[in-house]
Amino acid sequence: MCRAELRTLNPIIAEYAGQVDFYLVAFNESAATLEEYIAENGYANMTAAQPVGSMLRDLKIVSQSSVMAMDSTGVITFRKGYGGRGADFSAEFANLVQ
Amino acid sequence: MKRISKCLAGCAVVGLLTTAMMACGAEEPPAPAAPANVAPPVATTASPPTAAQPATNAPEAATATAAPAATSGSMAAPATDTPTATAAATAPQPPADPPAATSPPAAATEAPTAAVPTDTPAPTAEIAPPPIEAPAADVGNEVGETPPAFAMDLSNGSRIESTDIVGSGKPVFMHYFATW
Repeated sequence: MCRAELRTLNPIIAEYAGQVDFYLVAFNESAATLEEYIAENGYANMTAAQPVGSMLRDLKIVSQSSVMAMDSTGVITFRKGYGGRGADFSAEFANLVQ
Repeated sequence: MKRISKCLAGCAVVGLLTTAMMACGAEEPPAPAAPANVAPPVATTASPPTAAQPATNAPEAATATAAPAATSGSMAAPATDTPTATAAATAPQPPADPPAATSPPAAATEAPTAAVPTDTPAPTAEIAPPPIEAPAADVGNEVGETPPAFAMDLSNGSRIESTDIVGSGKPVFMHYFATW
């Protein structure tokens, strides 16, 4: 599920490269593992990151394939939990750069 | 005879009238003129120094109202002296007036200049605080809220914090991912 969703996201990430910073945050994995995965699939414009401390608990991220977006002032503009195969995030990205 | 007597009587009447008129005319002209002419000499002769002093002091006092307090000491001495002394007393008054007249404007100019510097710093101090209070959002995990502070280690070994993300000035999209 996560893999399919990331494939859908990849062209959108490329479209908004330089305008929106995209972080692929490891969920019960290491950032190194994600970095290898990014390289294997030829993705670009995304940064693998490892949560520090209780970040996932503090942000109430309870499952993989969760998404959260923040505008330039740090305010949450969008978030979603597990599911939504093939979800199109074009509207969310467009909203971020407005 | 009757006519002659009437004429004489008429002439007598006319004569009396003329004499009366002459008498009245002689007395009346001096009467109005006398008060005007007689009064001034009496006034001048009665008290020359006192009359001269008010006349000379009145215009000067009108020009400078603050002078009496300072010139009262000099005025008391000349009051007992002759008019020549009063003339000498009036001479020093002009020098005494300019300082009195110049000193109030100097104090007036100092007052506004002292008030301006004290007023200008206050507004600048009041303007500074408001911008700090402008950006304020509730802390939480829902849309429209600011998430609690967090940090992430990047694959290149560096660490990024939520404050750094906000400081970059760009929006952020985070996808919590697992390869399994």
